[in-house]
Amino acid sequence: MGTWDVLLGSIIAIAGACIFLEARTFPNLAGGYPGPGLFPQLLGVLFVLSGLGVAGNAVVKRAWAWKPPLSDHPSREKINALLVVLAVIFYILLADTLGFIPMAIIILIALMFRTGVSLRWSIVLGIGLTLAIYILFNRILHVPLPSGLLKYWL
Amino acid sequence: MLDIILQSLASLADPMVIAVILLATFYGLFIGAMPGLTVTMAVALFVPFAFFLDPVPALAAIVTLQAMGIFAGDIPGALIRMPGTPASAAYTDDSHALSQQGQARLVLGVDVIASALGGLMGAIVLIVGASALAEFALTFSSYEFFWLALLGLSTTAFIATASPIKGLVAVILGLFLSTVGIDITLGFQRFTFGNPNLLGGISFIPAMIGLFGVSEVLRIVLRGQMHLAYAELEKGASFLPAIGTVWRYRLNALRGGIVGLITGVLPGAGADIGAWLAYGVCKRFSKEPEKFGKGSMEVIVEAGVANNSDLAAEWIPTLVFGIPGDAFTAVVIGILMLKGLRPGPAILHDYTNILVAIYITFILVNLLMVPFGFAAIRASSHLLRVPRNVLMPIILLMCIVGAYAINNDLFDVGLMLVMGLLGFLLEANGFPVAPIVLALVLGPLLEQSFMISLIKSEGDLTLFFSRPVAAILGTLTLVVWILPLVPLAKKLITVRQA
Repeated sequence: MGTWDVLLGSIIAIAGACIFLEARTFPNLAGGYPGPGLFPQLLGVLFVLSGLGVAGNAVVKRAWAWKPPLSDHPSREKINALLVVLAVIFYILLADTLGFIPMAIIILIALMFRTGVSLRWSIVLGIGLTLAIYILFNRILHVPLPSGLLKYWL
Repeated sequence: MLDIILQSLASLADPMVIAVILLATFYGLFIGAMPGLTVTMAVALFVPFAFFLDPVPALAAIVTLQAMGIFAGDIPGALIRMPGTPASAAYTDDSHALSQQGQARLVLGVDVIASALGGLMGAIVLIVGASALAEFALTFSSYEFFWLALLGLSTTAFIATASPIKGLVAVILGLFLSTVGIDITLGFQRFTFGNPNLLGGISFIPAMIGLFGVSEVLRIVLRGQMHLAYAELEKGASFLPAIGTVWRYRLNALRGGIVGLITGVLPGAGADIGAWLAYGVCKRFSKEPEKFGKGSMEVIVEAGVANNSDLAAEWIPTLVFGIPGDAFTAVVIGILMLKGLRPGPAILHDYTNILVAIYITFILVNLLMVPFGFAAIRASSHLLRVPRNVLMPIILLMCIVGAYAINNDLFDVGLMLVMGLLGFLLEANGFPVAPIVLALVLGPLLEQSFMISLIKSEGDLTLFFSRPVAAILGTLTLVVWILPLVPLAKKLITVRQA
């Protein structure tokens, strides 16, 4: 964690400096009273100090052992976690075009199958659970989930 | 007053409300019993439903979810040595050790009785304390609110976390996120980068679903342990032996309840702090301290009562000051605002019916906990058998739909993902996530009370201590800041002496 602390602490400190500088450009209130910039400026200073604190703490403890990120986890699990992230990105990009139902079925089947559920059960559960969630949110709670390809049928 | 109580009872007797409470009971017991899934995540996923419910069923469901979830967190703690929620972590080793000695059913029975007892103690203090404190809080000015908000944030950063400096980073990050959007003084756009979706600020619900839902899915998928090995329950009855055990440790139960109530009322300290503190107090005064961690029943009673008495007490600063005790009550504030109920001293006068309904729910739920809790113990082996590789994709999909449902905007799904990755990255590096949510909720109150106080005092910071309550709260805050420095100072002195 040590090397990461130095890196993250430094990023936090740099981000704090950027916040401080940006907030300095915000206007003041009438009569010279501090305005919208004061609070973020204070936060920027605290970010710099705490970021330096995190990095400094790791330096003092001489915690230099470098470990690549997520190196404790097997590669299969790392790919599964990446798939979770990609599934959300995939949904954001394609939900309007394809619609909720096809997207949700694809995501559920892919993630279940990938994490060890049999293909047959992944398909059955993927379709069944998607329909259940669709009915719950769209028909009962009236959330207008994207209809996409199925807009003429739903 | 009798009229109000009858009206509130009538509103709770509505079939819809009863159905919601029952569903929240099953949901809370299920999520609490699943290791790795926290009650905070459960409430984050519940928010989209709360959005569509009336205030009474929405809040009744949250009270139910919280109490049932915190109790059910004891189940995997005893059976597989993995606390279902952080509030159960303090006595997990003791529960598991006793389970391995063939007393799992008794331990879990004691957990139910202790939780219900703690919950009832908390409910009584909530009912009495909230109205007394609300009268007192009506005299508060911006100075007192500033210090209260800062005290809550300081506690969560410096006391409720393993690394105070990382807790501080989390609080500052949450406060910074709360400044995004149009500012309240001049209507000036801050840190929006020209994106119209950010004009209203960082949307609280997608942010919270990301921080507690997506990041947990990522952690569990990465861990890859999809099926869990658990200890079997012994045969036989557990209700009467459990009552007998709690009665034997009645003084521990009382002391645990008091510790939980104190931590609950303190802004920024959640049920997990209450349980750990009760653990410490119990060990300090125990006649058998050598049993701790190896199967001490007295600590299970004391800390088990503490974490549930803390829950209701946490609602006092939440309702009366708008200052949450932990991430869960931060979500409660989000839901109150969503329902148009502004927390603060006036809430007791403005929405008496709703608050009385909450009080009654607290009592009802803790009574219901006994039968449902024992049923959950019977079903525990089935609960733990639910494969997580089926559950995780469903939770991810619920996160996506939940984040989308509030504004019907895919931008919120993106925000959820960013916050989920941020939460995952921070927690993997030892930064706590709960203070971010607390700071995100408290940020506007802190900034507003700070700016008003600063303008009123014309920049004279000594006036921040000019009123008696403000001076006490300010001093308490400074003490919380100094506490983490004490071990550091001791170390420096030792090094110098050497």
